[in-house]
Amino acid sequence: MTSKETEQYNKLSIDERECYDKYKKKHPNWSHAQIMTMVVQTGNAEKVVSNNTISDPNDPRIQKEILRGTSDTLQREYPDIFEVIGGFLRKALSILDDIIDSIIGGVVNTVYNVGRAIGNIWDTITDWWDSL
Amino acid sequence: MSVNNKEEYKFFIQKLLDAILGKNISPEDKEKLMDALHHEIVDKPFRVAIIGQAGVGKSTTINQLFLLNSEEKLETSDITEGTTKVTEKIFPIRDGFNLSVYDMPGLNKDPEKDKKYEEMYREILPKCDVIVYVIAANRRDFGEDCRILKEVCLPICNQKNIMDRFILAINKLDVIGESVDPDDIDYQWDYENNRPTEKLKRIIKTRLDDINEKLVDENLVTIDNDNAILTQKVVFYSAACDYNLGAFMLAVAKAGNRGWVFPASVGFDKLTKHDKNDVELINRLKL
Repeated sequence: MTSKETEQYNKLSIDERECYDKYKKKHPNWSHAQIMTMVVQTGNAEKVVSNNTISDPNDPRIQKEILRGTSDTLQREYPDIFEVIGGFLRKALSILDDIIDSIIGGVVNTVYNVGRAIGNIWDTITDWWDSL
Repeated sequence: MSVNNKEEYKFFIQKLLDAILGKNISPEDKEKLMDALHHEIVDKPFRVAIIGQAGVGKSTTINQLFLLNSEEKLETSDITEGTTKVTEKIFPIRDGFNLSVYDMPGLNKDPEKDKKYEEMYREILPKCDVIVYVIAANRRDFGEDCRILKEVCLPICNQKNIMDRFILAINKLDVIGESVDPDDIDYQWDYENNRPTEKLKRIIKTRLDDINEKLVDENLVTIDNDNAILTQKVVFYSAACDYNLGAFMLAVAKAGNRGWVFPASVGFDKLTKHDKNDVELINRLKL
């Protein structure tokens, strides 16, 4: 392994390292990237069977993509107007990122905490709204 | 106003887009932006190519994911290359927004026919906003799918620089257990709770690991190679059971430049049909 690959390996969880080692042994000819792909895909399969994937189309990750797409389109079509509202869109995207990170990282486990994080977005919106 | 729970958040985020376009800019600029978004979302139909061999659940996938009623179909047109045919179906979604679906059969080892299909793939795939290749998880042998992906679909997507629109969809998780023992109820899908039984979970996990291993071994899926399918573009689901379609929707939303158009166009009302329990709450919030 190169030093970069070793660094990636060291960042894996115990279960992921077990998976890495298993496939390294099973497929000695596989590249590091192939084994890492298998580690990711094994984790994805685990999520599917435990139903720990996105079950709701209104998940923040989907909403973020809608917002990102809207933002990109407006920026492309009307860069001058985008200058006015772009800052706000970026802020909203960044807050969505924080929420998504929290959900993925398991930090936000309760509806209360999700609500609190969402409340932060709402505060940003109302501040902006009031400033008009 | 405070937003106190996740359900209210769903409503809120939808309103966010309205808010962005409703204030802060002059009426003229607002009109321009609305026109730009209208053009992007409504004027240009969202085009999906769905590829797969017979019986993998292409139609069910399209119907369930995009919540279509096949009887609402607007029009059908055929693209032919000799006797080879690909059908384009157009469905109305809402507010004038149309979804265009190219139903593309898999190849069939007949070199002459395959060549014609390849030509059609080459013509049609670059026109599409999302390209979905469906594989049935319950089939033991998907070597032919690997060959089609490796020799036809991915080279075309690479040449046309549209790899980011490609989604590999592994369907029929719900029937994997039937191939092990069709009579054992523990291997059947738990339809009441719409999830796999504990015994079935282990079977599904083993099967998915086998599929993943094959895909990685063939270099079809990767974490960091632009010429292959990225791990986040591989979706495992059951169209018939409406299982894990949210993850599928995310993959669509992330696909290419216009993937976001679909969930944005379908809108809040229709999306939440996936989650019927929310309807009452949503109605209350709307008031």
